Amino acid sequence: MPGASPSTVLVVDDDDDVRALVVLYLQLGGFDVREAATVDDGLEALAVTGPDVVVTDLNFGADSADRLVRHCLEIGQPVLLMTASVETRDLSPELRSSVRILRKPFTLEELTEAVAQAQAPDVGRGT
Amino acid sequence: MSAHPDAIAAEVVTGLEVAVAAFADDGTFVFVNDAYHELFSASNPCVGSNIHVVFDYAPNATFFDALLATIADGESRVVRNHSRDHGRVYDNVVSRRPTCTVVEVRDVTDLVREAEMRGRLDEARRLTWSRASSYFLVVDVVGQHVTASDDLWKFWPVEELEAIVKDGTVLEGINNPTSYADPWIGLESASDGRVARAIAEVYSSGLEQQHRTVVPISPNDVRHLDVEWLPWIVDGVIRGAIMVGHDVTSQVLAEQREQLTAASMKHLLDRLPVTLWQVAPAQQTAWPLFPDRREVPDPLWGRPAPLATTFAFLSGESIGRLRAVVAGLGTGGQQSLTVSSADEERWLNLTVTLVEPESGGVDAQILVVASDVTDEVAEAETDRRMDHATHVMRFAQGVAHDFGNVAQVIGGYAELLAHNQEPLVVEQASVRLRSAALRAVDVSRRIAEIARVQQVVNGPVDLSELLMAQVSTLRDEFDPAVHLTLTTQPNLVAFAEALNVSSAVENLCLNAAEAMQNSGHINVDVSSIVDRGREYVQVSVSDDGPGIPPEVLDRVFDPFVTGRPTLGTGLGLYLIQEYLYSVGGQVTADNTDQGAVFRMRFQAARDGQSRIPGRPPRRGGEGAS
Repeated sequence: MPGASPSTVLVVDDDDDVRALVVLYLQLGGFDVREAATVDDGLEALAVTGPDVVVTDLNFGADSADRLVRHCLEIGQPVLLMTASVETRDLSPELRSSVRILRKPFTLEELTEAVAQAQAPDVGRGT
Repeated sequence: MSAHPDAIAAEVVTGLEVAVAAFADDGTFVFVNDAYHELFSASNPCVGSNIHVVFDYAPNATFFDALLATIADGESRVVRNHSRDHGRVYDNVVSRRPTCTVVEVRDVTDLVREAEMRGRLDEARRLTWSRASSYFLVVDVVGQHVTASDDLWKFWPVEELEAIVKDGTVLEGINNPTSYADPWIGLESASDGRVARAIAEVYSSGLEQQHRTVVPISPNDVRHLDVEWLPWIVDGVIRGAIMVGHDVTSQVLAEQREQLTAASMKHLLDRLPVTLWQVAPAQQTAWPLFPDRREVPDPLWGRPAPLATTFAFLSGESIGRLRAVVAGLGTGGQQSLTVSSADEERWLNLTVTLVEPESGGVDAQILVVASDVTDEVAEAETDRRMDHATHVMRFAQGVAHDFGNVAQVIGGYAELLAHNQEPLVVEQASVRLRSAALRAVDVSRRIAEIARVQQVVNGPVDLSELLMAQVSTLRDEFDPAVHLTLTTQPNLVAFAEALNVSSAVENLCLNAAEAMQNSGHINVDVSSIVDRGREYVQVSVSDDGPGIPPEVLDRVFDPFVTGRPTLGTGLGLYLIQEYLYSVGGQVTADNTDQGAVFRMRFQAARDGQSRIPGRPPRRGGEGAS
């Protein structure tokens, strides 16, 4: 459940099916949701919207979400990374300690909780 | 003088100074003028006072006996001779009649001299001017030294010589007999007495003669002269010879080179003045691979090469290939190839060079410098394998990601629908679940394809022929605004499997057309290339579209990477790469000034080769299999 409402969440994912589900989840969870399908669109929406949390995918197909995540860290923007990968060793130690990671598949509850925790100042380890 | 007058007849030619001699059947020679003047006057009124005796050269019966033996009854022949005392030239018209032989003697000295001068000058001019580089000189009968005597100038006026002799230094030498002689004395000694012999031949023949020979001037300066000897005649006497020497060095060398090529090369190789060198590049040392051959100085570093027993190093097949390569080379040619041995599989980069033949000979050396590149090849192979392993891992991660997303979608909507059946949720779930199911099927199908490309049999395929057919088919499938062309050459045979190559080329062409938004030019190029001593057939697909996005370029062959968010699973290029790995080839992607280019390299297949050459070198193995 969201800690503060209505929080604004920006969902950036190139996978249409996953993005639609996450958006729906978050909307049903009471969040104000924006979405983008590419990193560039995501960065633009980030600047315009100024969301409380950015939710994006670790594996971003052709373009790397790395660029988006690093930008978020630079500006102190809370980020929640979703991943279906078993391994997270590819992540740099810096990234692992700085962002919240949510493994797929996740439930509606897990998602909303993770978003709420990402929003909190003391960022913990991924679930 | 006992010839019977009845046995004598005579013919007279008027208008020339003529002396008539007659022979009796017994062979006795008689001067007509003296003994039978009366008789001739009686029988032929034309013979008369204009005849005077010039036939003073005292030919004897032997001379005429020999001559007459060659002349049949009723036949006439002209024989030229020279007076020894008067410097005159005579033509003897010898005619055999049924009852006697008549000799008409004509003094043709002036005619001959004029003709000789004209003819010699013309000939010398023709000979010296008709070739690029010629020399001209006159030697005396002694055959040792050149003489610029007064006699010479009488027949060869200075201005004529100047016109004939093109080389300024030689002309200067003519004006100074001493310096003129010097270089030709050198020629004489270097030519092993051939000059003297040639002059002697000219002198002794007594008749006009040309003698042609090739004279290497000296061992240090190997010039080949084509020499013609013209007798130098003064007053009917041979006083020496005019030598016209043409510098034919380049021609001779070209002929020798010609002998070295093609067919004779095999023979040459069998005789093996071939030195095979194995080179360790790092140590800068070399040693001959055939130690039983004569030792020659190290061609690379100038010191004697250490011997090493490495004759068995190369297998028969490799030697055969080496010979085939050498046979196709000209002098000074170079080519690299990679060979392996029978007992230990090593890779050598061979640079084959034909060394110019020694002076005058055709005994060229075939020098093969062999660099051992096994370590480099092994390293490249290791890199390739590690790349492959990395790609397999990425593929696995990609599959995990895609299935993870599918699972997320299915699980997520299942959870939602359990608590929430609002029309919005149900409608969206319906659409997304169907999409997820299709994606799952698609990914599993692609995984099955990867297994298939690893198993196909890859025999030698003529890629130029294959793609000529395919491109014309593909052309019909494209929008007319897409211009698809093919550049190739015949007989580019490689280890490949036709279906996979076709599929890869089609895939690349479709990608290109899409990138160009179905308007532009795509070229498929098939060509032969050599890289690090290996021969490949390269198939390139280039377009004049926008190119590959820079951020994607180095990951374009990774699975599930696509430059286009809407199309495919991103497995196409990955599968192409997998396929090329499986046949020992590779694929690369680049951007050019015009657009993008994908290059696929297939290992070239040689005649009779039915398997892909072993990829990883096996050290100390049991032999190539």
